[in-house]
Amino acid sequence: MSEIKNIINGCLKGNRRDQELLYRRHAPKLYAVCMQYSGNDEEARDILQEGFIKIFENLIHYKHEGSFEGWIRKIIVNTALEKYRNKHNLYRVDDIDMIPEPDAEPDNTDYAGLEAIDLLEIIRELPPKYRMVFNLYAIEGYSHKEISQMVKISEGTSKSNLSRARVILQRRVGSYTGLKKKING
Amino acid sequence: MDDREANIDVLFRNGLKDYEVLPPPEVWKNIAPKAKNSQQPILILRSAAMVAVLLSLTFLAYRWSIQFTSGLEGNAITMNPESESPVLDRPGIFTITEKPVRADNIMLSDASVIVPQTQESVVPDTINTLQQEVDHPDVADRIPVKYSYSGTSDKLLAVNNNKSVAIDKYVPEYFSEETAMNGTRRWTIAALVSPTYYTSFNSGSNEATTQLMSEEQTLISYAGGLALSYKINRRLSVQSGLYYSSFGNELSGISSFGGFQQYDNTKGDHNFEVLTMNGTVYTSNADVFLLDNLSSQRVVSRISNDMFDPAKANLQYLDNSLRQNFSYLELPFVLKYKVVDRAIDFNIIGGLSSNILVTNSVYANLDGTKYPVGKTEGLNMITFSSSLGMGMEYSLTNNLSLNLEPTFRYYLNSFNEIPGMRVHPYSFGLFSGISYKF
Repeated sequence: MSEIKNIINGCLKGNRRDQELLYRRHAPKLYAVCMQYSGNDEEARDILQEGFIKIFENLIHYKHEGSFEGWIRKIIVNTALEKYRNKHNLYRVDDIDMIPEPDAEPDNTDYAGLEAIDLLEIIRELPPKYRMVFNLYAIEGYSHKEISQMVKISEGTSKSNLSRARVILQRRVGSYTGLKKKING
Repeated sequence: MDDREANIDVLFRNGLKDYEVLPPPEVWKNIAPKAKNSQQPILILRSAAMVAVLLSLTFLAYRWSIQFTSGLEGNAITMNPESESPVLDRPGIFTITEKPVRADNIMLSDASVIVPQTQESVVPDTINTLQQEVDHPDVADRIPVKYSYSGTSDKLLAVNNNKSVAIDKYVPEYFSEETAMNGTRRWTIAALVSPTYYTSFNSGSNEATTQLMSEEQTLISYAGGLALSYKINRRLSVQSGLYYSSFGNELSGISSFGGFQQYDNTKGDHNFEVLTMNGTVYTSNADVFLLDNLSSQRVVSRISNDMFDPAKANLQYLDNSLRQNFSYLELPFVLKYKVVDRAIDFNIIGGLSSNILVTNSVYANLDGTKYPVGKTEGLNMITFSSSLGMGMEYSLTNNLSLNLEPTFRYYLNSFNEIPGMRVHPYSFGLFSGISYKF
């Protein structure tokens, strides 16, 4: 029996230590996913917390088929999506003109020097509806049809949001790399 | 533009792949109590389901037994106070006969006696012996004379002088308990098996004990054996026998590794000790290396990190928990009291057992096979337990019965005397099997 299977069985029996072991092992990667889907740390913490409770509640349904990491990531993404759907009325930023202009001129071809933490910061600055569609399409690999059903928007809106998200990201990346170049001299 | 857009996707996808951020500690603090509780509804639902199934079975069995018995009662006779004669419960089944009915030397010639229509063909010629006298108060109140009966397989023939009537043998109201017991089979041998849920509670508030309890899960256990009972009277039986029961605990969070012997240059009878609720486990397999993942200091070793670094050694991972197994031979002394005596009997069962330890092992589970690790030290060789249960018995034939006995057992002394711990083991089992009367 594999180690993860043993840990899952322990969790199913309500063993606190196995639950903690599972959390410690997977929380850092999942927290990064939560941050990617949220605009601030508080929201990311909420997604992680709710997501992990769901993971423990639904472990009994895990059939040990496919990657466990993929299974728990899907739960976290769904939790983020659920949270977004509950709050989407609060997100009114849907116009690209409302996005603040970058501080430096974009450099679209040179991404050198960008680290994961920079990318995370850039993606978190996106308006929620663009961030959600970009994450689902570009990172998770869902189609526009699937996204339209998940986010409850039309396929056209999904495409449009993705397109706008890309433009914003392009600018941001450019400004980051431009800034870094300036700083580095 | 499309390529650039695709590039930005790839940039983020690859850049954020495998990125990790340590979450703040309070997140786990908020998750932990809910994660623990999230398992409880499953346990509660399972327990509720088990209780519901048991109650449903009991209710259905009781209802069925009532229906079955009322069917039998239709064939029984009752007495008419006015005529002092038996009359029909269900007209049409019995008829009055004025003709003498021959049953060897027994002649039915009185028109006031009612005999089942079918009885003429049922009463065999061989009935010629009056074996016993019936003096049941209910019957005697109405019939001032004594009736005698002789037995067939399932009918009795009550006779008073030349008056004879068939009475169903399975209607106990017609006979006193003593009369009913005469000729019945007093001895019963039964073979029973049961899945058993074994657990324990700690009456002390020691933090270390509570910690240990949270890290141990009971394994599904089983018990089975032979029981011999003697019927003292129609309701009370005394029972003994020989049972074998096996149960155990899973000690989670303790990883075991094989292949340690090649690195072991120390001398001693055991390399590791593991503190458990049932005593300290001593490893006897020198090839085993143990590691406590939960850093709760349950595993004590004389092999320090200076002497051996498991990370640098080539050890084979076995399991991330140890299994502690005990088995006992049980000698019970049990009293059974029959509460309901119908097609399905219901008994209250209670008694004491002395339990002799026969197996004491600790092992790791390696792909379904047991990898021996050691044993638990200081276990009591004999323990005593009390039991209380409810037995259901359904007669298949005159001799054979099916039995179902949900039984609760409480151990009067713990398996091991550990200073600072007051552990009270108990178990719940659902015994089922078959019994033979002789």
